[in-house]
Parts: sequence; structure tokens; C-alpha cells
Amino acid sequence: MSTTREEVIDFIYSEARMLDEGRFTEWLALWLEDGHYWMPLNYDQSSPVNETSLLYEDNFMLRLRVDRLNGERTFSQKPKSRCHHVLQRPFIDEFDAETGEFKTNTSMHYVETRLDTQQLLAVTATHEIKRVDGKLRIANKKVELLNCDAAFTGIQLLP
Amino acid sequence: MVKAPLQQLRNFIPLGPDKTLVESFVYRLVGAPDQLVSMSAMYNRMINAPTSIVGHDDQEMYERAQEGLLSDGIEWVNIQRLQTEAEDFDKESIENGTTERQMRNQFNAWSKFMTASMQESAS
Repeated sequence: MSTTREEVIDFIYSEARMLDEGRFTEWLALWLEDGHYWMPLNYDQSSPVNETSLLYEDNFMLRLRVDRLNGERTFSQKPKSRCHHVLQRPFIDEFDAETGEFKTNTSMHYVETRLDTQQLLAVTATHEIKRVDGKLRIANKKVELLNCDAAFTGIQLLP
Repeated sequence: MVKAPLQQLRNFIPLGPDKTLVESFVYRLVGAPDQLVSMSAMYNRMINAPTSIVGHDDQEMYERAQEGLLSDGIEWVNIQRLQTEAEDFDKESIENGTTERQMRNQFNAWSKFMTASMQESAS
């Protein structure tokens, strides 16, 4: 089954919509087991491991995060946060229909809100996507914040 | 605050009565293996980052406590939780994890040491 560019782009949009609608369990199922979600702390950071990042989470940590968001005793989510992604059309930087491996670069404005506090983050997301068993899956995702080195209050959901 | 095993330093900078900036640094020891700094970096992002799921609930509690302190409902901060009878703070004790005995102990210590060298009033 051959992949089209439109399919890859639709995948990026539908991922953002899942997060916006709080469908975190469904979102988690998009991930391949050995994928990492990386949000660097520094601009042009080279290592996720030997420098502090905002996030560098494997499947276990992402699952924990999603379980917590879905949980009944998650006090910082009473009431719940909501988020909103506005996406620019993703660039497809790598497209290999043969191996089913794709890489995209997407500019987003990410808004997260809870009670009276709302924050806006300018974000560049890099997705590594693989087609496995006929379905597109997230192999890795890197989220770079334009103001990554600023002091933040809590960022509770996921850009 | 320094966590020596992690080569970590945290600096709490008060900006106002309801706002604190926390800076968190990890150090790379000269000649030490990379695993040491990667462990420190992991702790830093899992516990101290604004994206930390541990930090989210902590911050929520601090903010709820601040909101409580702003209210005019009661003049005192109630630290009676799980106090059932008179407590002897000179003795060590093992109690339920949510007791506020340690807060009571802290205030007891304050008044004890502040008055340690005072003479009993003659009247």
C-alpha cells in the first residue's frame, strides 16, 4: 500500500486534533513502542540525554503521563486544562514510500489554558513517521519551543 | 538547595508574595562518566521542569494553599490534622504520613528555643 503526501499531512493534523480534544489514549496508540517525545530546553540542543530537556519521554513515561491525565486523583487537572493547536501546513522533509518512512516539519501556535491562565507557545514540531502494518505511526517527535529557554509556569498538556 | 548526589543546585528567587522563580542547574563533573550528568539531567526534567508531572500537582497544592491564606475565613492556619491528644515533642514518634505533627513540632521547637534562656516572670 503506497502512501501519499496528503495522507502524511492529514496524519499530522489528526494527531493535533486528538490532543486538542483530550483523546490522549487514542493519541498514545499512534506511537511506536520505541519512540521518544523530545522537547529540548535549549535552542539547537544536540543531546536529549546529557543536557536537561523539558521532556524526553519514552513509551513508559508517555503512558504514565496519559494515565495521570485520565486519572481521577490528578489534582492539578481539577478542573482540566485544554489545549489548541493552530498548524501551518507541514513540510515533508523526507518521503520514502518504499520503506514507509517520512519526516515532517510543522510550525504551530499552541495555546494551553486552565482557569484564568492561558499561555501561547510558538512551536516547531518534527515528526518521524513510519508505516507499520498498513498504518502510519509516530516513530519519534521533537517539539522545539521558540522561547524554550524562558521561565515557564506549568505546561501540563502536550504541544 | 543542593542535591549533592545529583550535582544539582536549585535557586528559589522570590519575585513577590505570590510568585517565585526557580532556577535549576546540573553540573558536569570534570573527568566523571557521562552517565552521572545524564542521571542529573533526567532528574531535572522529570522533577523540576515546568513540564514535570510531579511538579504539576505540587504547584497546584502551593497555589491552593495560597488561595486559602488569602481568605478571611479564619485568622489562624490550622495545623491540627491527626492530633488526637497531647504530644510530647521531645520523643520521637512514628505516625500516619499525613499528620501535621512535624509542623506542630517545628512551632514547638521555635517557642522552646526562643524562651530557653528566659527567666520565669516574678509575678
